[in-house]
Amino acid sequence: MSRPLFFWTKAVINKYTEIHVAPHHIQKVTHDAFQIVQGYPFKYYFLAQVNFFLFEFIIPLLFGHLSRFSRLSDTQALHIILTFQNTAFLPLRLLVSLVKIPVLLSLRPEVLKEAQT
Amino acid sequence: MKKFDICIIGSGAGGALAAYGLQKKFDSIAIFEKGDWVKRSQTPLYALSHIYRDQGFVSGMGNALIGIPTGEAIGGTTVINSGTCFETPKAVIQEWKESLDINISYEELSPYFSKLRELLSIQKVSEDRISSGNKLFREGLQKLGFQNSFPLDRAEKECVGSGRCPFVCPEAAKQSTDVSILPKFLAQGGEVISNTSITHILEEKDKVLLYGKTKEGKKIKSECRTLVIAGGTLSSPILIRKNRLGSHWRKTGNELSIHPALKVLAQLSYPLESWNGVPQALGFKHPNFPALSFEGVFTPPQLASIVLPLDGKNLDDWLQNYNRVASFGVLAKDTSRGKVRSYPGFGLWVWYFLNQKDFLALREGARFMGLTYLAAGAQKVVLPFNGIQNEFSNFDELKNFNFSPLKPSQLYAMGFHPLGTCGMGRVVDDHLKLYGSQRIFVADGSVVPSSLGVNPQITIMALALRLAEQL
Repeated sequence: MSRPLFFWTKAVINKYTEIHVAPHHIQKVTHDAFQIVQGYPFKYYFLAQVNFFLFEFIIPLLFGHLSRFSRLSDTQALHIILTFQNTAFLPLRLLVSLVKIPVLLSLRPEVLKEAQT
Repeated sequence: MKKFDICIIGSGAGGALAAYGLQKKFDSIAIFEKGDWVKRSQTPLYALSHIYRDQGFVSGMGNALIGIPTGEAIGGTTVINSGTCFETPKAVIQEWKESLDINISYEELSPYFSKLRELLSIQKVSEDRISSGNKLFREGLQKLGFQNSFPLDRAEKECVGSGRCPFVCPEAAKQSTDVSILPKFLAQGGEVISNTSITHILEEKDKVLLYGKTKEGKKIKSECRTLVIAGGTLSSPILIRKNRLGSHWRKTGNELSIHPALKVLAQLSYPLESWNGVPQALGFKHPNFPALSFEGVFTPPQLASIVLPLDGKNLDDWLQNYNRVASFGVLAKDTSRGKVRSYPGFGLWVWYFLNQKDFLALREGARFMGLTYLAAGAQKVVLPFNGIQNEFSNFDELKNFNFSPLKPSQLYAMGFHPLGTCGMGRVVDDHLKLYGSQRIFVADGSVVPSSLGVNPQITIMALALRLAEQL
């Protein structure tokens, strides 16, 4: 039986997927990403769920957005991702890596937005 | 309870070769392995999630985040390495003798190197199987005036160039120990007990008792006259510490070296399909960077997205054009050191602090790789850095770019060869016997007392064969 995922985990994964993936491929990519998180060794599964909570509810506030991460525009969400990715402060890079990894592992070149145009 | 002459924990480079060597002298030998036999027809993603320890999450943490991939399967990390083979550098053996008073000579190890050449079918990568990304790097080197790239020695038999050595060779051409050694061991009556973890070890006067459990949770107990611990550099020190084995168990886990490494990707204007052929086919030593070793490397398309230090449109661009991408890597003979510990509730934790010397060498090594690809005609290159410009399309811009604000925490780094956590002269003696123990030996990367600067599998295997002969 697969482990449960909290709604915020699904929401953040969905949002990050939307940044990269064409709309009609989102469901497949998120499905694969959910399975990856569910299949993590327990300690990483647990850490990932906490991390997704921070991303969904807390981190947008730090950027001045009174909104959940999943409800930001693609541009706003990507700005947060890139800010964390480009920081020299290691813990923030860890947080963003945990958000990105399941989606990145589910990406194929043909599902990317740019590939559809 | 099963009784054996010899029990070996781990089936990788050290464990398998120790078992193979010991079989000539002892009747009953058992290898305990936490992982299972690998399935060869799976995708690279499957390999990452099923064969890599903690699904590839294991990392060195300190002032940088450095992924340390290790295998958890029958064959250990040899199943997920690149198959390259290097004899222990003579200078390193000399260093062991002079600095650490370790009494091993190159001449003593040499017969084992010869034996391993035969056992693993070690051969140079032929020109027709060198991947296009490697050839392009060689072109760039020649344009920069370097003629000294060389084909690497690899453990392979009838390799067809599937291009995914670190994600389980689908053709069983790479001579990992599950392909080359363990079938021989089994044919001679040896026993491999898979999916079984050894958690507790008790050394008594005339025997060693092992306690563990299977993947299904069933408890097991075994007894042997001699134990060889070969669980790998990250696991063996944990086991020794936990069970307080020998007299120097407090020193285990320290002095970790990992060969920190970086990779540079280049995008060309024409298709390369770098995944065809041997991705780790060529090597190069730069005269100005003696501590660095440059080697070909390529990540299969299915996992490309996780190795690019980009996001947004830039990431998408590289992914869409991945058939036009080449890559090369560099590793450092590190002077930095780390340590391995296990914490309640979390398990394995690897501390590693990249010092300034190693960091600067790696940074300049990455710059050099970028310049080489640009000289070879790449449209652009991406360096493994974050928070600073990392894409370059102009040779002079990259050559003169000021990377001085860069910090170790901004690297996209990997550490491929953890070594040294039960080093000779510190935790085990020259004959790999645990100090203070009569019946327990260690034979894996953990006994290699310093950074080698090259892939360590042949060193580990030679030391294991030597142990088998001396026991």
